[in-house]
Amino acid sequence: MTNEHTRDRFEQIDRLVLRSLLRPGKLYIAFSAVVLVCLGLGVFAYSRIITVAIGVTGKNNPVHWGALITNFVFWVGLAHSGTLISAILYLFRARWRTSINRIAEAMTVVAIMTAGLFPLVHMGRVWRAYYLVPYPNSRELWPNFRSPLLWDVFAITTYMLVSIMFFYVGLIPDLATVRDRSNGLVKKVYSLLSLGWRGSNRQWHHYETTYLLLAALATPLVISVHSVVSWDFAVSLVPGWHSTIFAPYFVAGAIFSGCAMIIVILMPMRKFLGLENLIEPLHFSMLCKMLIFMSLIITYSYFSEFFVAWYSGNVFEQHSFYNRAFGFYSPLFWVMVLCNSILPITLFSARLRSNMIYVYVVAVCVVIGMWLERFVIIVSSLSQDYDPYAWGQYWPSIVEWGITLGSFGMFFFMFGMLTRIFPVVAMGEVKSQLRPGPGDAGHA
Amino acid sequence: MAPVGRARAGVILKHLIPEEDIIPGVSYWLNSTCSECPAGCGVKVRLREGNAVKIEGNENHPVNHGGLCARGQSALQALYSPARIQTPLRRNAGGRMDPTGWKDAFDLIARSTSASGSSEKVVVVTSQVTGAMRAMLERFAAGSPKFNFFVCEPLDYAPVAAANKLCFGLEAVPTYSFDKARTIVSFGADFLETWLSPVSNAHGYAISRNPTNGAMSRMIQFESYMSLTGANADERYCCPPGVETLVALSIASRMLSGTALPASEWETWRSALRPFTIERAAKAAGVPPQVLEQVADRLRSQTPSLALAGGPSSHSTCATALQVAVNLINFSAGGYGKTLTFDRAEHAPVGTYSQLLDLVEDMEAGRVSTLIVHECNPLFAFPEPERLKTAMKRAPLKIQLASVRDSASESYDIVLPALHWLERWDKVESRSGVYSLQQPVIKPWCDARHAGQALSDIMAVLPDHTTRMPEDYQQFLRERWENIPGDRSASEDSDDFWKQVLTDGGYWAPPVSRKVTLNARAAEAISDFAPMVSLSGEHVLLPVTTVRYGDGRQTGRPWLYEMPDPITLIVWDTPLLISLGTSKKWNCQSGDIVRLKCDKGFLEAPVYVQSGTHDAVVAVSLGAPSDKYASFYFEPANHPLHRLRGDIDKFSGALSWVGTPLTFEGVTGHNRLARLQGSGRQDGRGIAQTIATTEVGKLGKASRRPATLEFDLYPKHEHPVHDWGMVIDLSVCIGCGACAVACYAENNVHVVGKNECLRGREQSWLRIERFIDKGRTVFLPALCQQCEHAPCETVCPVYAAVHSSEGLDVQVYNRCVGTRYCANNCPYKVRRFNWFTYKVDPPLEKQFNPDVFVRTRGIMEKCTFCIQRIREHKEIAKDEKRRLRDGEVVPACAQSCPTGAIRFGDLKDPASQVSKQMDDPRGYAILAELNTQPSILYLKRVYHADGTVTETL
Repeated sequence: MTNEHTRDRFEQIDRLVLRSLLRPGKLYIAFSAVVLVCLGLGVFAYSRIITVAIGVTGKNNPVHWGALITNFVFWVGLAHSGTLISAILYLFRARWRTSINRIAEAMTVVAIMTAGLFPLVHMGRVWRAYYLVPYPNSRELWPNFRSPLLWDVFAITTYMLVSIMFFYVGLIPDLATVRDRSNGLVKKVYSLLSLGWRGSNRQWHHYETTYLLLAALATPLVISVHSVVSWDFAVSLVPGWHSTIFAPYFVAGAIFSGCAMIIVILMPMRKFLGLENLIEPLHFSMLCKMLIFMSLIITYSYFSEFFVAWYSGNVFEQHSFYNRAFGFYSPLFWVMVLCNSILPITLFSARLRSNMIYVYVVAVCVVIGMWLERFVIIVSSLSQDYDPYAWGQYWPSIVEWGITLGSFGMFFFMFGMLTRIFPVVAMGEVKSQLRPGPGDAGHA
Repeated sequence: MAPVGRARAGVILKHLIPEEDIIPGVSYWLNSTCSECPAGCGVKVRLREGNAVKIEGNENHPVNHGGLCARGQSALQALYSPARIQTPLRRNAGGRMDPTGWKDAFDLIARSTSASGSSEKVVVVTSQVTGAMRAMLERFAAGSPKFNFFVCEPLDYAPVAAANKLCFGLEAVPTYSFDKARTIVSFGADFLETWLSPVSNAHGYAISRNPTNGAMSRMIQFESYMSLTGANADERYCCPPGVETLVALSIASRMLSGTALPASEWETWRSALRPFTIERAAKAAGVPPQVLEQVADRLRSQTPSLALAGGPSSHSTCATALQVAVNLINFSAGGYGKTLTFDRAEHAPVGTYSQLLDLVEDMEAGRVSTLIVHECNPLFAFPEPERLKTAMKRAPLKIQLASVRDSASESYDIVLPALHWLERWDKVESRSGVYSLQQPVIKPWCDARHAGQALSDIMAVLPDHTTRMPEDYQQFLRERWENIPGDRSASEDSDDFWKQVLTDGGYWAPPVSRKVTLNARAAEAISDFAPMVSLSGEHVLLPVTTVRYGDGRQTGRPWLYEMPDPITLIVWDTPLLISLGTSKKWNCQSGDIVRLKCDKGFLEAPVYVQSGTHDAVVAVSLGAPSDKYASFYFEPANHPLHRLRGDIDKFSGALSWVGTPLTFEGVTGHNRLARLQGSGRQDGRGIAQTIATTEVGKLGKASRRPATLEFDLYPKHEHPVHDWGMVIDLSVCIGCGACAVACYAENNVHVVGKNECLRGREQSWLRIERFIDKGRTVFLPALCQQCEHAPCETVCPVYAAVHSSEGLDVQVYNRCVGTRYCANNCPYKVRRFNWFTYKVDPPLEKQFNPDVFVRTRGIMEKCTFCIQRIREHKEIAKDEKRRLRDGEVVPACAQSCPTGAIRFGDLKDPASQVSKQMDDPRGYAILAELNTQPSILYLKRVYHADGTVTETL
């Protein structure tokens, strides 16, 4: 390896990655326009909840939670893969992560922000949200620490803060690169953001230590956050919710949907930002293997839920799962099984795995399947629980569909903004993984 | 004081400067008498800040003994109805009704009657009036041959009176004592819903159902549609409409053999009854002959027994024959003097259909100059509305005297506002010798007059009528009260007497003993009996009455719209009830609008498939929800009474309700019916439980709140002073829904509308669930169970759902943020969420209970065992420096219950009624396995093991 060659490669990477920070192309503007329209529709739909009441949604007695909580769990789930790929794979020294971890982390940050809005939207009277915050007040009223919803408040907040921190720390060397290649006001801003990074050995040493520690801190959070979210359901006594497997089941599902969403985002980005040299089929193959693994876990969970319901001899459990598979919501259930349990298994075939279009289709299906999974768990369990008199049906109203669409708009809009501001690939890390000589795409 | 809804605060607290006698925050109770149906239950009305906020049964009253039906309670929504007639109205040249003044109205009456000849009649058509009003009308009628009055009630009991006249020479309706009966056989009578005096009947019925002494009564019902009474029956036989008569006659024939009668009379009866064999009746009714034999034997062996007939399908052309048969049965079984008696007669006589026809003919002939219609709607009840309308046009002056607009108000020349019965003094005598008081509980808020006063004022301006009228109805009424007949001791000071009347709600004269002897001439009613036309292959229309809309007059009451029909559990709509067989034949499903052809046009309405309906019957309930709050509202497309053929029972002159053939013409559309019960299948959930009479004795002791876990994550709740609990006896719950309406009234529960109900957003805190257990229908009042280990409390992130020191799960409305987690986690699904800020049309909000928060959007609400009542009585006890007495606090639901199925009290007090009943071996907690430890103990419904079995709801 000669210094000159390396410098050329480094230069190449910088140019390649930083292209997205240049003047936006027509495609980006068109994309932004579409997602902004979606976001606008979502905001309009939400304004109905504010000005009229939460009754404009389709919820009722007994289904008091519906599409909005489904969205909450869905977006929290998506927020998992980022930290998984960054932190856990980092700790496991899986070097292939370097070219995709930035995108995954950005997705985490954006998804958790989207998710965090949904409990507020769901409440209806958002101006009362501060009642959930433990703040000193003259009435000496504190929130109820027995309630899983309060655990959520802490879990989500913690996860969001740590994710943002982790994202930001990883960015520092790359921000310095941007600073070095910009001028004027932009340079000043990136100077501030890069916290005086000079790339000295000492700084690299501190940086590596911090990153490792943060990775170690974030890893248990990946497990804990979605466990807490799952306890919103598992701690209750609704048949179909009240289950001890919910924590691992939800964590696996979260990672599953997160990996799928990364594929969904990564593949067009790679193409439109010209990152084919950095994000290679190998990465997709690796992500597909994770999909297969997670799919097996959640398929086992589905099976286990049904088995336990049957084996328990408990009429309420039995009915709940019978209703899930054969009741009003059964079409959604079977679509979910197809998307989450059958399609991902086909990726065992290396030939299919290397077919980018097929992989993309499967990934989109998994994202849809995981949304349906949450919907089916939440809604079908509530719709027929203990007292048959109170059984009912729920279907999201146009307002809920609008807000759901708006959340996708918000997610993609924020994600698009991030790609304009920050380098989409962790250049520093990619550079560290470079091997001498040309044609050295393979690792590990 | 509890806070009130911000938006309504100004309305509720209008008396910021206290008027005389009104102390804000203190409630007053005044006695009166319900006039929502002719039964005349005693009521007491709660007043707060000058508004009437709650109406309850008067415990001292001999008719209802403290209970009150849903319709009676809804009277407050008529008192404060947006459809109240507020000023006199007169028709202008354009045909529209213009407001006017009383003086102008009387001038107009005087002008328009002076033109007409003096030979023509003045006719008053009125709803049932008794006591003073009736005395006045009788005085008018006696004083002038030109004055007539006609009592128009859709539910008349003319065949009963006619049969009693034939049999015993007494043209009267007896009082029925269900409490003493061990066998009750009802031929179609819906005595727990609308028949005669439903609250009184239900009260007595519940007493007869005491399962502990081994003598629980057996109720046998023959009917052709599923009535609430039939659903409660131990044995229910579904037979074609009109066949009840055959069945009753065959049973009478079998029972006659052992009856002590003079030989000649015995022979008369025997020959009259000879054609009516058990076999013939059994074949017509479609039941095995052994059943009828057994019923006849039971009536004689399991005494005292009671047979009764009534209800929709007995309104046939042979109605009197049926009543004669019933009289024979009761006479043979020795029921007179025990289970039914003429010592007090029920219901003053009512005009019959044939008399109404005479009146219509008079009108058609131009013999009626002035028609005054008081609180009734002949257009509703008359089978030929067009004929009546044309006839009414011949009368030069038509005056309506009513408190609330009805569906015919547009067809009168002058509409005069009458005081609502809660705004007036009166004397009512719904049972002979039971003199009930009506007194104004609020200041009238419309420019209305007492109907009696208005009538007498009208009389005064009519030509030739001026001399005989009491000028002042108030004075006339006072004389009525002072001259009560009976053995009221002369020494009694009239002031003391009056005070006693005010305290008791009336004066109950001792019953006058009247013995009966059977008159064999009544046999003619039987021998002339012509069996009904064969029903094979066609359907007949059957107008039915329900607990919800009664005879159709209570159609303007939002509480009743949202009260599910206890059988179909449908709110708002009144669909056509058909059997499963009919629905298959017509290839239609519940909610499909069908078009049925009848002699007089068409009937077009949604159907509902109700098991228990006879295949030959299309049952249509009277009344329909009116969005304009009008009483006697009906949908022209499906009003059953307008499709009747007008056949008459010749002995009583009553209109026959049975016999209109219907032909199916096709499905024309669909109307989603808002049925509140998601599913009636229990599938081993054990929510509604029953037990056979033979098993009751074998039960062990039950313990309250069976603790399934010894370990608990959270510390136990301490209840230092009180621990409120409730016992609900499913054995006597008849499912009438009075409790549910009482809850709406007491707790300002919102009425949300049919569309919201369709989405499952009804707000009822208390509902009657209907399930089948072991083939027996169970009505189960479901309300917050006030769990000791409440799932709702732990999951609320903001402590809006908290446990009180008295064992209640309370909801802090202004702390609630609306996560709705509590409602998800409630296994009983009794929490209600305010999806919107619901509105009420003024002035209905005057009825709001100021002690209870009026909830706005985004708030979870639920039953709190009427915590405001607990507070009120605790404060009263504290003021009086004593402990609360057992039975002092009664939640609204328990208070209204006609059968006393709901009992409430302090579990900390070992001597309280509920504490003792907590050990009842029939007791069980719903979903006890969830370890929620409810404060409500349900007592299993007891059934006769050899009764009939129902498979589906």
